[in-house]
Amino acid sequence: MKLSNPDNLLKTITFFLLTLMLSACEGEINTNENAFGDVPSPISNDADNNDDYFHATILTKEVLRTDSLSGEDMVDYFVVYMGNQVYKTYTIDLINLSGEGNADIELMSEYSNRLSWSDNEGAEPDTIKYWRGYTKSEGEIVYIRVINRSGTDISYSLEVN
Amino acid sequence: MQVIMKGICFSILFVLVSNQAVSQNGNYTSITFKKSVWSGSSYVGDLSDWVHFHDGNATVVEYRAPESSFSFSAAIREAEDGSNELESLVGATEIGGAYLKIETGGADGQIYNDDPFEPVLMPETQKFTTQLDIVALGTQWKNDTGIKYGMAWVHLKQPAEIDLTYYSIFPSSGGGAFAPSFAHSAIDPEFSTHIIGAWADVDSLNSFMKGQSTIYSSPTISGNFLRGLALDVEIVAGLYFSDPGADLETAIKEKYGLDYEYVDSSGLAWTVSYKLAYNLVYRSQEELAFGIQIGLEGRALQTLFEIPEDKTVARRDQVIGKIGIGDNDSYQWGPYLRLAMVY
Repeated sequence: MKLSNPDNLLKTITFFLLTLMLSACEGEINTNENAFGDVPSPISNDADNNDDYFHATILTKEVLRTDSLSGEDMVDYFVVYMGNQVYKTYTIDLINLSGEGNADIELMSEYSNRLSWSDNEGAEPDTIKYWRGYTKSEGEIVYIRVINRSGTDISYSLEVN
Repeated sequence: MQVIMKGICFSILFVLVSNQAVSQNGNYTSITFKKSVWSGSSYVGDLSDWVHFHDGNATVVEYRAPESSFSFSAAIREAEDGSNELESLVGATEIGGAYLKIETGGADGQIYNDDPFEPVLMPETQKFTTQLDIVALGTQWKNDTGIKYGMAWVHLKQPAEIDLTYYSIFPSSGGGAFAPSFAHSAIDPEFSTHIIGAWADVDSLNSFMKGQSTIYSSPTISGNFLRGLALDVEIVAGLYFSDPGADLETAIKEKYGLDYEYVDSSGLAWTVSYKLAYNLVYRSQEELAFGIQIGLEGRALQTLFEIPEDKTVARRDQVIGKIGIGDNDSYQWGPYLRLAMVY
């Protein structure tokens, strides 16, 4: 059978592909209980640090929380428990920004995907209205990132309703 | 804009290369109205959960000079919002017995997850641009059979899902109900797959218009009319290798504080584009024919077999990313209506 004949070439390709479809395999990546080194430890409500996803401060709904940012503390993380199957519109307010500083807020899923954001200029308050509807995955917690845009010292208040 | 500039350069190059090759007789020209293959409802498979295109319609203008195998096709896509973009540009010619075909195209899309709490890491930016490029070099099989074969390179840039594997035991103390979770996979919006392999092209319509059969068409002739089904197929099968587009290393470091490592994927893959159509042709003279074609066109790309490379997470702050078989498969389709003339 000459492969230079396109008819034979097509038959060969078809046979080859069908064979491969039945025997498809792939490499495997394994987890490892004996891996060395340290792993970032998720400790929520760490009193000394809420600078990343793993150390977010627990924010209670309808309670005003005051915190601050600086040139060295550029982002604060907060975590909010929305409850099981509580479908409603949540309002997140960033208010009482001090001085000439500029800070913005982002709402993140528990897998750190951005759901919504507000980025008003200067010390103007930021508000996110987020409708939590039914989703197959039924996530119950969300994260809020407060980001220092001006790099200056800023105090602020944050509230979720 | 980049696609349009590329299209203009491509057109000039092709006109220059093919200028001497165009035949004066047996030329074929057509205009096609079709639903764009880069439409939300025409994009199926695993990726359709995240990939969104505007529904759109495309108008395709095509010209062929069969005796010299010169052909040129341009598709302009009009999206629902009224915006226009160059969806694809195809040029082909025969020089010294060698047949060369170059195709480029793509579309802008958006990527988002309707279920934001799914354990999938989505890209920060929601816009992406798909890209499909094909360069084929081959030869005709006999004369007027409509069959060509040879070698080809295919490049498809589109979203893909990358599986993430972590150290097996993460500490949960202190987290409780508020412990952060890790995504099972990440979406790379512009992941590239390259295929280099054997190429075969069966062009039934052109042969049909001239009353000739191919292996995928056999016209029924009654008087001056020809009718029947015809299938145009272009297949490339061979080796593939992958090329990530997103900077997941930075994203995962920022989000999770972990070091990301990507494991290259290579193996065997294939891609097929097809046009299945019912044709009705009227031939008034030997050199003059009018045809209407109603059909379905589409394409698919599948990775089939990967050269296995097993790997184990070595450090606790390491995450390994790897694309699995089928995680960037693409299936697209759309109906079309074509009016054609041979003169």
